[in-house]
Amino acid sequence: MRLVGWRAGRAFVPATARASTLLLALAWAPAQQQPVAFPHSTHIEKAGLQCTDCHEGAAARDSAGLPSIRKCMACHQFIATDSPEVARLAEYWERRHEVPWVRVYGFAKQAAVQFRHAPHARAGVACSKCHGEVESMQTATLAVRHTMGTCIDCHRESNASDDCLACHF
Amino acid sequence: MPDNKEAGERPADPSPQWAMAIDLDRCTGCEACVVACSAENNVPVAGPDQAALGRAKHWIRIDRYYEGEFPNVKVRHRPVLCQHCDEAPCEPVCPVYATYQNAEGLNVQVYNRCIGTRYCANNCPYSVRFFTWFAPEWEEPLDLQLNPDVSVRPAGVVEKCTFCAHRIKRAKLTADEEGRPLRDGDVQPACVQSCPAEAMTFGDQTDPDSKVARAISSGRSEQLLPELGTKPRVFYLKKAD
Amino acid sequence: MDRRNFFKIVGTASGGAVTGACGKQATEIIPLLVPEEEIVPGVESWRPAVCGECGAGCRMLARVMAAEREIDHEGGRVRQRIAAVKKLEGDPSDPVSGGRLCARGHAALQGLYNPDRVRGPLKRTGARGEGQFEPVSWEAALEAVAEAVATQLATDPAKILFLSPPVAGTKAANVARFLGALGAPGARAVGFGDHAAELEASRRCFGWDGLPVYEIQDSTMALSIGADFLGSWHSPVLYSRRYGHMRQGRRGIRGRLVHAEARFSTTAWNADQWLPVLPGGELALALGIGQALLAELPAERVRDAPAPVRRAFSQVDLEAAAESSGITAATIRAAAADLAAADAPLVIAGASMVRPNSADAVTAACAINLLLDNVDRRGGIRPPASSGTGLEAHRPASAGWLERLAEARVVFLDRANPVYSTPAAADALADSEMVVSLSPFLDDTSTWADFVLPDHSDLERGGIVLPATAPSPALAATEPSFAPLHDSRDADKVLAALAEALGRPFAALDARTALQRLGERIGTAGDDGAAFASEALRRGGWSGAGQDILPDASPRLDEFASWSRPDGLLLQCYPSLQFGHGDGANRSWLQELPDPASSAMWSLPVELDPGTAERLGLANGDPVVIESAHGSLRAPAYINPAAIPGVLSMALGQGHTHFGRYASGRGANPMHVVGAARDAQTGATVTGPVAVTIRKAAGQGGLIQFSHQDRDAPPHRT
Repeated sequence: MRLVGWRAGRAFVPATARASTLLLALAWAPAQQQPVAFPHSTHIEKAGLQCTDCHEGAAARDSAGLPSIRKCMACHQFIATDSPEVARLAEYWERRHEVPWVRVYGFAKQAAVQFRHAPHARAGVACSKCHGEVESMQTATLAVRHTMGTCIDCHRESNASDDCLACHF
Repeated sequence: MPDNKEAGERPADPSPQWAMAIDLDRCTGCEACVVACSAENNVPVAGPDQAALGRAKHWIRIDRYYEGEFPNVKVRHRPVLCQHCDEAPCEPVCPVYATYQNAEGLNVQVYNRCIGTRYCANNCPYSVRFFTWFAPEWEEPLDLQLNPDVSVRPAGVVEKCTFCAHRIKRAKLTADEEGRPLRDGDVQPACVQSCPAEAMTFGDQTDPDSKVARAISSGRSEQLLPELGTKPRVFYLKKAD
Repeated sequence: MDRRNFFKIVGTASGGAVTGACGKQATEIIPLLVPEEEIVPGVESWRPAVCGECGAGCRMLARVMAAEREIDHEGGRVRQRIAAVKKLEGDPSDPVSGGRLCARGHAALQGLYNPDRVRGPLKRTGARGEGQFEPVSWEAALEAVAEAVATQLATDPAKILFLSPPVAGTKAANVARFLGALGAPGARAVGFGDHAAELEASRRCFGWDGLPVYEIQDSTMALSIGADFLGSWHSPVLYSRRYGHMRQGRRGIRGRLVHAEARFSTTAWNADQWLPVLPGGELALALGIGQALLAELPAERVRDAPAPVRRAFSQVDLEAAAESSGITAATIRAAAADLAAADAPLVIAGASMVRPNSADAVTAACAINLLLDNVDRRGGIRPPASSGTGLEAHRPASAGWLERLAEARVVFLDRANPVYSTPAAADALADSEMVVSLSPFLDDTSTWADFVLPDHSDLERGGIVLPATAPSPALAATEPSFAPLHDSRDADKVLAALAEALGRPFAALDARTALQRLGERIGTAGDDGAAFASEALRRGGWSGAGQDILPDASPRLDEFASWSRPDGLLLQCYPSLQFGHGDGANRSWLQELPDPASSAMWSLPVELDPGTAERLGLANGDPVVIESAHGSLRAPAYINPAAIPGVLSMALGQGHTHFGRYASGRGANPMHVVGAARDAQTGATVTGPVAVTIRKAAGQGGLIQFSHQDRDAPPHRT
């Protein structure tokens, strides 16, 4: 019964997308309080790091990933050790804990979204398309709302699949 | 694109048309597929109380039919899963278009669109759709086993076999990454992968060289309840006796 | 959070990141430092593993991905990222599993992550068998056990008994070394799933030490007597693969299968013809077919058969065999004629249900192959393949285990559950000085232990496991590749520590050492075995080409004891494809797996024939009470159109006094009714038949079925 279901389904998409803008409002937040203030701009613009230096999976894997504290300490055992934030970091390290970073982006379980970074990276989607100009942010802030509308619009512009099953399974 | 298909045209770069063949002459009814499916797809265990109310879920099951009387008894058995019908009775009855057929012939259930009317399950002649009565729970540490590639369905939606859509997705991404087209055998749903008697095959039925296409054209092929006109994508190869 | 609450929150919350709204609590729990060998979220790896759910020893690949769990750590709750197993699949390079897995194999995962695993050493606080324990430190537990063993060593080491599963490998070898160091007698199996009748028949018929290998895939006509080889038996995955090939794997050839068993098992319903042999009549049937074959086969083929075979079969009275087996002489002759006419005939001989005369029955059925001259032929029967490690020698046998248990003062239990297989074993345990369990679960028998020293799960352990049967020399070998989930310890190391504490140390054998020795002998030149071992461990095992052909012995076929079937209504029980001999019952997937015959979940019924049901006025699901001289049980009735009139059947699996939340106190253990009879020759536990009475009971039967009645109706025309 593709005839009824699919045609109507297509027409239905933007409406749902708008509705889900509301739903996903919960994923929108102003500057997030993090356990350790991590200035993205300092690391990227000043120190010259790439996004994928820390978010290792962003280009080739399903999830971008948050770095382990090992990675932070590889540098911060030596660099900026007198900063109070680095001291806080070192405190976690001393106790053999990871930093309990608060996620800024992600999909609610109820959205049943199976997102994969790799194909987006392969398609040449810039990080900033979905995450904003993180490199110039002091604190990572939710700059792009990940509503279904955002995804669908981009998928249609770039001639990617707009099948529900592309993301929801 | 689906619109082309409706107009009876083949698109220039045709999508694979997924289909499954189950050889009933090989199938022993051992139910390995049933547990493989539960493990792969985060299908929750209902428990004895809910099971007694008819709420146990098996996306694939072995139906058995006793024929004749002792000592000349026969059992016919048949693995039954979502038939991914081309003319699926579940689709037109959904008031919110939560179920539809996609361009590759998969009967898709969109969990976050489903509002749980259960009309689809009611209208399915194969009884392969299951309502999620309660939020599923896994007693610690059983939750460690959950497959992150598959959504855990919340209470209030209908779920069913997806032909392991996540494995199809994974196979496509891998092929894409390796810069090659999908090959026959790249996609193996968990049931097919597991089958000890090697009774099940899965693949693109429009590829004449695929195992599944050859099975379908073997001369032993039949569909379940063909008189209903549902045009299933699951083909059974008759037991040769 | 369910959907309703989700919408509620959406309605009120306007800020907060995803985790902030959905899992505020989770963010407050500090994550532990991830291990050095980082597990990357979303990235899968496949690691070799061995299935320990039955003795088949299928090699598997475990799909490992990152997962998070909450644990207590230094006085607080922390999140810990671990490598978790998400799925098990057969290893395609394994000659046994061939990349496939059975229902129980998949559910091995629920052994690893079972919520009822013993999470650390325990000390009994209540009475034996009650199941009351308190946690104790490993040091205290080992000290107490060592003290009890030392006391026993000073008086009589012969009264130390170690009960093990009937599986060969490094673990059994280490148990043997431990007992050797103590001067105690060798370990025993408890007579369930030990294939004792088949092993004995293999010795008597062929002089082979091990299970014969059946080349079902190449046979054109297979007659199976008593072996439910598709449902459980020696190696369900191997033989299901071979069955599939026999049916549709050869161009233009479809093998025929005739199956004789006293129950309409999975193998029976897949057969082209089922011979409903009466329980215990398998011997008579095998002898009858042998006798009929003497007439059906060309004279020169009979002449070439070994004399003891000719002699044994020529003495048989076909009419008497027909009478005793319940299969008519005409049917027996027809089956013999089919075998005689076949290009590649094969007789598969087994005792899925063990009778007091099973060793004889399997021997007679095996011997038909000698008459058919298919030994070591394509589509015939082949000798067992030796692994070359010598580990076969330490496979525990069952003979005399119950007598020894009655005498034993110190009892070690490793995944052996004698109280379930033989409820009378509890009395013997009650009188012991010290009972030590190494099992990962508190089962019917572990609850009788004074100390539980939990071993790792099979998936966490390393070691070599020899498959019960394999087409070529093969072994599964792993090294531990996951951090143990709980405070369990490798049983090999626990035994080594105990021996050390007793001043009788032994060198524990690990997979790498054993493989290096094998590699030294058969590996490539210039390799001292180390490279061989590393490669085998990387692949999860090793399999060699070719067969070790063992010398033929003169068949011993003149020792058939007579046995007479009890009169009246009979009960027999059988290992089921979901629970085996009962050890799969604490896996919820298997509890909810519909029983192949009855579609029962969580509630195994007694199968009975429609005539008996009518006589008693029983409908499907009605409760019945079944009584024998040994005991009684209550279970729902399932009217099976294929049940032999007057023969009740029940699967093993339910009726555990203790076996975790999914199995404890659920349903009935038919062994209470069957009693403690054992095959005198082998020690195997007899699973029926036993004379019983049946009556309808009051109340609800509690039968839970997945398939409703409409699915029992004939199929729609297709």
